[in-house]
Amino acid sequence: MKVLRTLWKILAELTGDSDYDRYCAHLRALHPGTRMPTESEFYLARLNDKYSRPTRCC
Amino acid sequence: MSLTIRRRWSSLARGAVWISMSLAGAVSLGAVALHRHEPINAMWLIVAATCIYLIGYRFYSRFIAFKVMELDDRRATPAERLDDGRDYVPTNKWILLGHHFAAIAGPGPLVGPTLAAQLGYLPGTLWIIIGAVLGGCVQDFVILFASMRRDGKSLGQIAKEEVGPVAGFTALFAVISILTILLAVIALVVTNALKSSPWGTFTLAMTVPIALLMGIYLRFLRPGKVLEASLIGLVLILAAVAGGQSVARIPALAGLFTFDARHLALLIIAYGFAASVLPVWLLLAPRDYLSTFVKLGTIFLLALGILAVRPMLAMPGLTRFVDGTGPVFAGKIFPFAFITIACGAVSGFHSLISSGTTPKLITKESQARLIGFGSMLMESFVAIMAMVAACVLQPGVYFAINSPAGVVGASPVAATATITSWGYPVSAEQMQDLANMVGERSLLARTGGAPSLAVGIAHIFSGTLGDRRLLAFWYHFAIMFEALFILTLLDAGSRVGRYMLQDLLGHFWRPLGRTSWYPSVFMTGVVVVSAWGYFLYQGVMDPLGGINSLWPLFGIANQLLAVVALCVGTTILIKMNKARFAWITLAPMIWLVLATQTAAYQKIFHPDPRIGFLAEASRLSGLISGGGTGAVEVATTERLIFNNRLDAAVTALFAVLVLVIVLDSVREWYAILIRRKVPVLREAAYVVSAMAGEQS
Repeated sequence: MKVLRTLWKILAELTGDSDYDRYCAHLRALHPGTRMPTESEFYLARLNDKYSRPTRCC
Repeated sequence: MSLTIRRRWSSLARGAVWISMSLAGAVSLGAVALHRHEPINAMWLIVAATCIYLIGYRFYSRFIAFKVMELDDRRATPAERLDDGRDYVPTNKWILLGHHFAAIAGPGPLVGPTLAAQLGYLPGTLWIIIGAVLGGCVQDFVILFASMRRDGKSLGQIAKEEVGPVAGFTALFAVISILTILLAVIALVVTNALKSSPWGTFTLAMTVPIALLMGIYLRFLRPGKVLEASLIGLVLILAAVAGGQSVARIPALAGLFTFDARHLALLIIAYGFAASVLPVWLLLAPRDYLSTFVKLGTIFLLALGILAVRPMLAMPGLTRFVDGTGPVFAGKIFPFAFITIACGAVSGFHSLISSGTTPKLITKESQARLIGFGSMLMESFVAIMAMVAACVLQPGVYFAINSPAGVVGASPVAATATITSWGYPVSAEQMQDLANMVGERSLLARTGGAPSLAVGIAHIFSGTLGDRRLLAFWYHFAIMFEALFILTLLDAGSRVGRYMLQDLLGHFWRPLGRTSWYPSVFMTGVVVVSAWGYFLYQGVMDPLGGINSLWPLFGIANQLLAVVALCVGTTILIKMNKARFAWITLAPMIWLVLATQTAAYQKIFHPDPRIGFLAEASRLSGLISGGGTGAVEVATTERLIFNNRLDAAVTALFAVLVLVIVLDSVREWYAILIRRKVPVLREAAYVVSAMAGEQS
C-alpha cells in the first residue's frame, strides 16, 4: 500500500497534478493576501504557457 | 580495519568495477564489429551500448561538468533565485530527468535507426553509440548549462547575445524551417503506416474523441487531475486497439476507415489545422498526456521484451547497400548514415528543449549532468532498441516492407523477386502470411519505418508472451503508439510554428502578433499547416516513396540546428576562457558540418537521379521531351520536376545557413582569441546558494 502511494505521488509529480498545491503553498508562504487562482484557472494558464514553446521533440 | 585501509579497498573495488565494465564494453563492441557475416545476438549490442554509456557518463560527463564547465553547487540556480512556485521551481532531479526525457524522446530515434538498418546493423549502431556520447549528450548538456546560467533563456536568445545578431536570426530561421520539414516527414510516416489499414485508422481516429473526453474531464469535472484522466484514457485506448480488429472484419465499417495515401494526407492536414487553432485544453494537452504515458510505457516494455527474448539479429552487420544503392534511401554510409540517424545520436532539436523549461527547474548546478547528459544517453538507448527491432526481421521481409514500389516493382511477385535477386530471399506468399498475421491487407512498400518497427516490436512482445495470436494486437498497438505521439507532435509543432510566425509578423504589424486575435491566428495557422502540408502531399505523390527525399532533408535540417547549438556552445567555452577545452563541442561540430555539407551537395548535384534532386528533375524533363509520357502524366511529371527543384532549393538554403552561422561564429572566436575583442559573458550574476554545503 505504501509502495503504491509513493508511486502515485511520483506519477502525480511527473504529470503536474501537484503543481497547483505547490503554487498555492508558495503564494501563502511568500505573498499572503494575494488572490489564489482556482484550480481550473491555474490549469488553463499553465497549459497555454506550456504549449507556446517547443515542448516535444522529434 | 582502519578507515584508510577501508577507503583504499573501496577505491580499489570501484576501479575493478570500471575496468571490468570497460572490458565488457570492449568485448561486446568487438563481437558486434567482427561477427559481421554470422548472425549475432541482440544482447551484444545492448551490452556494448550500456557499458559505453556508463563509462561515458562516469568519466566524460564528469570531465565536462567539473573540469570544463566547472558546475558549482554553491551557486544558486534560477530555480532557487527566481522561485515563483510556477515556472521556476527547484525540482527533484529524478522527476526532472523524467520530464526532460519525455520531452526529448519522439519518433526520431525510432524511425531513423529503422531506415538506417538497410546498411546493416553496424554503421547505425556505432554512430548511435559514439555520436551520442561524444556529440548529442555534449550538445544537450552544454546548452542546458548555458541556459541554466542565463535564467533559462532560449537557444535563439543565447545565440543572439553571445555570438551576434546574425547567429540569432539564423537560429530562429533554422527552427522554423526544421519544424516545417519535421512535421511533413513525420506526417508522411503516419500516412504510410495507416494507408489501406482500417484497423490502424480506426484506432487513431478513436484517440480524438478519447482526448476530447479527457480534455472536458480535466477542464470541468476534475480540473488538473491529469493522472486520473490519463488512466481513463489509457484504458479506453487499449479498448480501441482491440476494437479495431472487429471494425476491420466488418466490411461496411472497414470501408469507413479505409483511405488511400492521398486522402489520408489531406485528412491529416485538416486535422493539423483544427488542432492548432482549437484551445489547448480541449485536444492538444490531453492527447499529449496520453501519448507520453503510452510512449514511456512502450519504451519500458520494449526494453523488458528485448532482455527477456534476447533475439538473434537476422540482418547482417553490413549489407550490400553500403555502396549507396539502397532502396530505403539512396546514398553511401558517409554522409547519409549520419543524416538518417539524427535523433538518438545528435539531434539539434534537443537544444530547444534544453533551453526551455528544464533549466528553470534544476535545483543544483551539478544535477545538469544527470539531466542533460543522462537523458540523451537514454534516448540513444531507445535508438539502439529500434535498431534491434528492425534487425530481428529477416532482411528480405525488412526490405519488402521498407522499399517503395517505384524501386522494387508494384506487384507482390515483382517486388519480392527483385528483393530476392539482391540476395535477401522473400516470397509473395510469405509477405501475405505476415500481413494476415498482423491484420493488414499488405505489408509491401509500407515505407517510413513505422510498419517495420511495429512488426519488429510485435515480434519481440509476442515472443515474450509466447502467443503468436497476439501478434496482430501488438502490431496495431505499436502502430497506435507511433501514430499517437506523431500526431501530438503535429499539433504541438503546428501551434509553436504559428506562435513563432506571429511573433515574427508582430514586428511588422502589432495586431498580427496577438495570439488571441482570431484573424491572425487563422491566417498564420493556415500558413504553417500549408507549409508542412505541401511537403507531405509532395511526399505522398513521389513515386520513390517520399521518405527518400524528405527524410534526408529533415536530417540535414536537424543537424543544422545541432551545428547552431554547438557553435553557441563553443563560443561560450571560449568566452569562459576555456578555449583549450573547446574541442568537446568543436569536434562534433566539425563532423556535423562535414556530414551536412557533403549530404547537401550530393542531394543537390549528385548525377544519380535517386540521390540528386537536380538529376531527377532533368531525368523527368527528358521523359516529357522524349514523348515517353501521356498528356495526363505530363502535368504530374511537371509537378514532380517542380518539387525536385524546390527540394534542391531548400537543401541549398540549409547548406548556406550552416555556412553563415559557422563563419559568423569563427569570426567571433578569432576576435576573442587574438584579443581584439574583450569577451563578455552574459551570465546571470553569481548568487550564493542557501543550500550551499548541503549534500545533493
